[in-house]
Parts: sequence; structure tokens; C-alpha cells
Amino acid sequence: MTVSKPTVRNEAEIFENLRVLVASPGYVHAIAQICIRDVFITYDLAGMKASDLEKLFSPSHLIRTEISSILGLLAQTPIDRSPATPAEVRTLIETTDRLMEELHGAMGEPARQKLMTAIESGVEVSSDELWRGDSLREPIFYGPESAYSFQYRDLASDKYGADDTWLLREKHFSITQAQVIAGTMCKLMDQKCAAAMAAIKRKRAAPSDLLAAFEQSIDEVSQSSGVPVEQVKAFFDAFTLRDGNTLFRSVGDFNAVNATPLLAVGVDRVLLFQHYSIYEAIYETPYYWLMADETYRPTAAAHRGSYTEIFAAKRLRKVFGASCVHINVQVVRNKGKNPGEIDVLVVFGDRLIVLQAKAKKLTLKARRGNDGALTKDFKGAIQDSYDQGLLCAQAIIAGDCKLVTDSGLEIKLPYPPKEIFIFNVVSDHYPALAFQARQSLRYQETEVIRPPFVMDVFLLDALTEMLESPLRLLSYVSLRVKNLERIAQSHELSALGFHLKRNLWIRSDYDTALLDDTMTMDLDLAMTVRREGVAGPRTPEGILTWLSGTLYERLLHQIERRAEPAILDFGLHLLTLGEDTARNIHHGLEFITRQARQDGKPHDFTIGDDGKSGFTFHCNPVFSETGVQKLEAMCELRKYRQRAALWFGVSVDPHADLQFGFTARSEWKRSADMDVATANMQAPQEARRLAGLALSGQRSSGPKVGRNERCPCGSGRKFKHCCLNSGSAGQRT
Amino acid sequence: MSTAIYSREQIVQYPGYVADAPVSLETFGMMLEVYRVPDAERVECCFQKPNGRQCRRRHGYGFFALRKDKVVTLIGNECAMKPGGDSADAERLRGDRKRLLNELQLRSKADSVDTLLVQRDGHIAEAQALIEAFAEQSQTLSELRTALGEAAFRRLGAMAKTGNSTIVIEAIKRRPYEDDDGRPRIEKTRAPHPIGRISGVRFFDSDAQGRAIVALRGLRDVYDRAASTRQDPGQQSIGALNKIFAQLSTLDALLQQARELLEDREQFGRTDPLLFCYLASDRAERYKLARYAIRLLNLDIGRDDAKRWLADQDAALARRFDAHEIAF
Repeated sequence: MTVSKPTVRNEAEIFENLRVLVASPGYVHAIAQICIRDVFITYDLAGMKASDLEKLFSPSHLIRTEISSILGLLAQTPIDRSPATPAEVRTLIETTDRLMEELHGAMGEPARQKLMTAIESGVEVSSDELWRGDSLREPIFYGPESAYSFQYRDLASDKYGADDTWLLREKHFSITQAQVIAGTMCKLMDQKCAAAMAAIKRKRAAPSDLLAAFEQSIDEVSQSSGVPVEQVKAFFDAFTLRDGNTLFRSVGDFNAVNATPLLAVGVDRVLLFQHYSIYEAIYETPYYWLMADETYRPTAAAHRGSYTEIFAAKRLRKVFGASCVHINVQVVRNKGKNPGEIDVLVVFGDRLIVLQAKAKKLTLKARRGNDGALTKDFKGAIQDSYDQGLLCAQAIIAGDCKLVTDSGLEIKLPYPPKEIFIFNVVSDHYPALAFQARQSLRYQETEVIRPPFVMDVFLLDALTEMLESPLRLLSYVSLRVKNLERIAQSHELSALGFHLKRNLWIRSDYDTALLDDTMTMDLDLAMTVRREGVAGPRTPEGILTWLSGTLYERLLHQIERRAEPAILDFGLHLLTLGEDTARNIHHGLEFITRQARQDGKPHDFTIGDDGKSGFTFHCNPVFSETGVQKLEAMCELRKYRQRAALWFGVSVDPHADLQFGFTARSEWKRSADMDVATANMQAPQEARRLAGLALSGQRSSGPKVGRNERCPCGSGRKFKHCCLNSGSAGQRT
Repeated sequence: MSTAIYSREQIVQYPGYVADAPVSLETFGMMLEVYRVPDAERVECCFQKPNGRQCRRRHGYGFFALRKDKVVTLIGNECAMKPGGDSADAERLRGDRKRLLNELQLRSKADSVDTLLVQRDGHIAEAQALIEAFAEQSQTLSELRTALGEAAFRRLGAMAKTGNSTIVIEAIKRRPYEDDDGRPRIEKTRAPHPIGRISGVRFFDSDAQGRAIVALRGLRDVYDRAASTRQDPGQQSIGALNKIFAQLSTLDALLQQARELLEDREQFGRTDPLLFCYLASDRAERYKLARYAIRLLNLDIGRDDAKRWLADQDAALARRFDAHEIAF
């Protein structure tokens, strides 16, 4: 039986069809409606929900790069704003959707072809061969956005703050004014669109009236933003497309709409269709202006180089504190050639982050699928930066070098490094970065040097926004790089989104975890709430929320404050635990600390984790050297009894304040003495009983807890669904 | 090893010593030794201050100092600590004082460690013997666990941890009465009565025994580390010796604790067997405990009569406390 292959039209042919379609009379109305359909989200003012963002993940909606392509084609001819009937607009939209779908198919065809040939010939195709040249154009064009639109807006001042003098002199507005004007234009667009949609719903306006909602004048922007008319005019001049976008002849070509997204529709009036376009433009476009000025070029290049380092250091200082983060650290060998400079170095206990920053972009040639250009761009932006980071990390481990800051201060490492994470950060949107890093990055992994973490400044921004504490960040980084080869995703935010929901711990028997883009939905919402000031949850429901206020979390904070190797491992291990185990630890701590407060004696409990590790918690009313020895011995006994390779011992005082910690790490080996020592050891309390034990004390002195009341353990669940059956139901009083 | 000098007479006899020989920052060579004399025998300090004057204060504690011309003289501790000025020579003097004190401290600590190291073989042999005794004890405990039942064994373990090994029963008295509506009711009053203590209950602290075995196993390592530290001059810092000394110092106590834990077994054997019957409340467990008690008491009671025997014991206790029944 033969199966006929679907006919796939040539990409150029489809693009030409699109160009003709977009030049149709009244097409601009179709664009307005597409933007409302695919870009705008509606939400209750009382609070935005993750489900409000769902439509942005629908495969049928046009993504930002597709809409920008349509706008790029629209800008090639004078915009015809003559009214169109709803039926005409509908036909135009349907044809656009069909052509766009066809275009997507055509761009994915090279990869599909390679796979089909391999299947038919039975010769396996390597990942390197598959994702090369033409095949990469599809993930580059259709890959998710690197940045949230507001990140472009917010980071623009970090990027160009040092160039304000030039901007004021040459463009007549500062970068801060640009941020304000762009923000105001987006706000005006939202208000007008909301009003227009309401009017259409009430049948007081025709759908073709929507176009007016995207139109703005210099006066109204000036009035609304408070920025003088002259500056707004200068802004309009700078970001309005003028040349007819003639260079835009195929998907990979330079599309001037991305750099200058305002489309002129008369004197002092422009059309702006997307937040993203104007925000991206204020982040990206000034660079080209600055570099075009030959006299200023060296200064601009220097500013651009230092921006990523300064920004990265700023964000990491927010997490680790200023004293742990160093910028421009020279690695000076005692003898021989120096390995180079670390752009940002984080020293937290025995964990180090070596961050190398680069300000390289993907060139147009590479976007068009040129193999050589793709490789060269990747090498310049990521591989070289990684190699330098690796050299520095190796020199640090070898211990034959000094770490010296720009100001000549020597950084003394408090402990020999146990783990070094290499971060490679790029300053700009680098399409399909996660994908390319997974495919192309050549790296080494040693006992101390972990695989690299490749990201852009926007991801670093989101990471440090959500994972605000050192342990949380290190735990994520550790899990992420551990699973570098096993996680398939189109953008790093998916892994972060997944982690925030349920911890990026992946079972060892899974080869690959494919993370869908929708994983970011809650993260997207939280970032929007934090940065755009809309009402809604600031933190995604998951690992950051489910144990807030518990003794488990309190313990984590205390470990972070100490940053000692003996307990850092323990803290990082705590963060890999599932919710149930973590909650049991909270209950156990509640129980033993209460017991110790009541009788002034030491108490303990033990929790086995996954069969390979476990924890013994002691509560010692008085700290003593004997207590340390006792805990160490107990850990050794428990570890042996459970045949575990890793055991943590932690001692707290009766107020659950950390006293000291201990880690026993060694392969399990049978020993006759240890068999004797553990022969009559009593089994630890079942973990699930800890909740009951913790509650028993509370309940005997407090009022009766009703089945349907909130569980006093703080889980937020009903008592009957939480601790009622955890072993102490009979003790309810 | 340097020895502190304790009398003026010994000072005078010190080889190379010249009385009243001034030593300045420039003529100072090195510190040789510490002296310490009683208040009545304080000796004059020969340190010549940067202003040219000799100190001449009488110090009870100071140093034999060797001048560059090989003459031995005395510098009081205070002058050695604060010789005045911050010249390189002053720093040299201060530094040399520190060097000598560190050396002395190091030697003293090393001597202490060596004294403890002498016990190595004896301690290791005893630790091995104790581990073997614990192995035997562990076997006995396992047998007891089977004989007493899990509930009683756990109870004994808990008693061992808390140290409270008293068995308490409740004597219950019943009094019939009529309530306000004339209905017949029974009032129960409960009075706790201790009936005895389980002796040597620490015998059941299996955690403590486990910890003791872990510590005994580590005893050889402690000695090996100490010996290796003493043999390697590179490792011999005061901190390292202090740590080793602290570890060695605990070994006597460790062995003593282990011996005590083993003695508890014997004490436990002296417990009144009747008390075992009140370690658990479950009926089946109690019969098991009763049979164990009967066996210990060498009573000629058949297996089937154990229930009756236990009921008799309960009744006897009730009578003893003038109660209708007992509970626990």
C-alpha cells in the first residue's frame, strides 16, 4: 500500500501569498482583530488567574513573531484604513490563519524530511545532523519569547542608563523617558481596546472601529504620560517605521517593524499593535543607533559589555547578599598563564557560581539557517564564554591561583569548593537558546564542576525574582544542570515553571522529560502580577507556597544564614523532598521541640527519605559536645540500619533554632559490629504518624478539632483530609 | 623540652646567664626559656628600653633571653610583650616571645597526648572485649524481646530513655449511689499506686548500646589519628593537638559508660518478676508476660493455669489496695 505524502508548498510561495493578502484593502482591520484575538487577554480586575493566560498557549493562535511578520508586510505599502465589512475581515483573518499554518509546515519541512528519510532508509540520524541549518529555522522563528514584554521595558534603563547623555543629545529623550512613553502607549492601547470591545459587545460600535483603539497621537501620549510634547515627538520619530520595510522579503530577513514598531497614519499619529513590539524596541534599537555613531561606538560597546555583568551581579546580590557576589574577578595563577577573568563570582559557603556574560546576538545570516553562521554565533555567544568559565573553575579547584577583584582585593574562599556552577548569560534575546544549548554545547563535568547553565538576562531576572533565597536558587540550579540532557523544552522558563509547581526532581529511570510551554503559565502570571502591578497571586502555587510558615521552612532560612558546608548539603537535600516528607519533618520538629520545652530533655525523630538517605533530628535543650557525639552516633546507626549511603543529622533547640548539623556520606558496607549495634534498635516512628503526634499535644490542651475544620497543622486542608487519620484519631479530645 | 625555672637559685645556675646584663632591641638575639618565680624571689628585668633606660622592675614571670653576643639575661613578660615602638626589632622581639610560648604550649600539649597514648593497647583490647560483651547482650535482648512481646519491650525501651521505671497501677473503687432522679449509678474512684521498679532498665536502651558500640569501634581510629598526628610534624598545630587530646580524654569515660551499660543486665535480673505482668495492657500480651514471670519464679504452674495465676495476682493487688479492681 502506498500513502501519498501531503504536498508542502514552497516557503517563498506562501510568503508571497501572504504579502499579496496583507496588501488587500482593509487588511489593517484584520490585523486589529487578530491582535485582539491572539495578544490581548481579558481578566477580572479583582485578580488575574492563570486560566486567563491559557489562550496564549493555544496552538491555533498567532504568536508575536507571526504578527510582526504580517505587520512587516503591511508596512511595505501605504496603510489603507478604508472600512471593511465584517465578512471581508473574517475572510482575511481565515486566509491569514491558513497561510500561517502552511508557512509553519513549510518551515518544519526540512527536519521532517530528514526524519522521514532516516526512517525509510533505516539509518539513524544524529541529533546534530537533524538540527542543522534549515531545520533550526523553525525553532528559531516559532520558539517562545525569551523575555516578558515588561522585562524589556524594565531592563532598558539598566542597559542604556550609561548612554543617557548620548540619547538626550542625539535623540532628545532619555531611556527613562522612553520607558515612561512606551508604558503610557501600552496603557492607552489597553484602555482603548477594552472600551472598544465593550462598545462592540453592546453593539454601539462596529468591529471595524477596533482599529482606532490602536491609534495614538503625540498630544494624548504626552498628556497621559506627563512627558513634554517635544520628547514624545522625538520618541515617535525614533520608533516610527519610515522606509517601507523593503528588506523584509522572507521570514529570516530583517523586519524593520521589530526595530521601529510605530506605523505612521498621518501627521503626529501612529498605530501600535503590540506591547511587546514597543518594549522590545526600546531595549534593542538604541544599540544600533549607538553603534552607528563611530565616535561613540567604543564607549557604547564598553557599556554594553558591562551591562550584563552589572545586571547579573545586581540580581545575584539580591539573592546571596552583597558580600557573596564579586564582579570582574581576575584569576591570577601563581605561575604560568592566567586563565582569565570571571565576570561575576558568587561564593556561598562551599558553593561557587562562575558567571560569564556575553553581549552577542544571533546574526541575520544565522536566522536564515546558514549553518556556518549558526555555529559561529553560538561559539561566540555561548561556547567561548563557557570555555573561559571552565578554565577559571579548573584553576580555582587546582588551588594554584588567587582571586583578585578590580580594586585589588583578594577573595579568600571560606571552604574548598564542593560544587562550581558555570552560568553563561547573554544580554539579548537569543532565539531557541535552550534548544541550541542542548544540541550544540560541548562541556565537561567533574565531581566539582557541574554542567553549564545557559541563559539570557531575562531568565536570570525571573530566576532571582522567584527563587529569592540562596538555597532555593542553588537547589534549582543543581537540579537543572543535573538534568541538563534529560529535559527537553523550548525555553528555560518551562523548567523553572515546572520546578515552582512541583520541584524539578526527575526520577532516575526516566530518560527524558518533555516540558510543555504551558508549564510557565503560573510563572507568567506571577511575573505579570509582580512587574505590572495587576492584582493576582505573586507566587505560583507549589514549592514556594505549600510549606510557608512551617518549621521546615524556618529551618531552611536558618541554614541559609549559616552557609556552612556541614549543613548546606542538608539544606539542599531538604529542598529535593516531596511535600509529604517535608510536612512530616515540620510535624516531627513540632513534636520534639514541644516535648523538649515541656520536659527539658532531649528528643529525636528519624525520617527515611527514598531508601538511600534519611534524616535524624535531635532537639537538645542544652548544646553540648556530648550532644554532637550522640547525634553523630545515632546517624551512623540509622544509616546502617536503613542501608543508606547518605544520612543527615540536625540538632535544634526547643525553639526549633538550628544548633548544628552533620552529614554521613559513605557506601553501605556490612559490619558485624554494626549488626550487633543495630540488632535491637527500635524502628523510628512512621513518618505519617508524626503529624498525629505533633497534633496530639496541641489537641489535648485545646478545643476539639471538627472533621471539617481547617487542620491545625497549617496545611490549609480540612482536618478529615489531612491529619485526622494519621495515627492519632483516637486521641482527639 | 624547656622547663620553667622556679627559684632565683636555679636562674643563677642557668648556663650562660650573666647577672644584670642589659639587653636592648638591637642586642636581643632570641628567647630561650620561660621562668616563673615566687613573689618573694622576683628578679630584675634587664630590658633596656628604646629611651636607653634599663627596666629594672622585678617580674615574677619572664624569659631567659639570649643576646646577640651569646650572653643570657632576663626580660620580664610585660617588657617582652610591649617593648615600645613599632620598629622591626621591636616586632622581632614580640614575635620571638610568641614563638617560644607557642613552642612551649605545643610541647606541653604533645606531652599530654603522649601520656594518653600509652593507654592505647589496653584500651583497644578492652573496647574489643566490650563489643563482644555487647554482642552477647544483644542476643539476650533479642531473646527477651521474643519472651516479653513487642509491647512490653517497647515500654521497657521507653522507660530506659526517660529513666522512669516505676510500675504504677490504678486501684479502682466502686460505690453505688442514686442520682437526683433516683436512678442507680456507680461512682468510680481511681487511685494510682506504685507497685515497684524495674531494676537496671537501661539494659533496654538499645540506642545507647548502639551508640556505645559505634564509639568503641571508633576508639582505634582515635588512637591511630593521634599517633599519626604525633608522627607527622607538619600536622602538629596546637589546634590539632588540642582536638586529639580532647578526643583521647573522653575515652576513659566512654569505656566506663560501656561497662555500666553492661552492668545493667545483672541488675535487671534482680527485678521482681511479678512487675513484668503490668508492662502491657493487652490481654494476650499479659498472658505472655505472666508465663515469663512464672518461669522466672520457678512456679510449678501449667501453661493453661497461667491465666488463673494472673487473675489471682490482680485480685491480690486489689485486696492490697482495698479496691474492687485494678487497671493500668
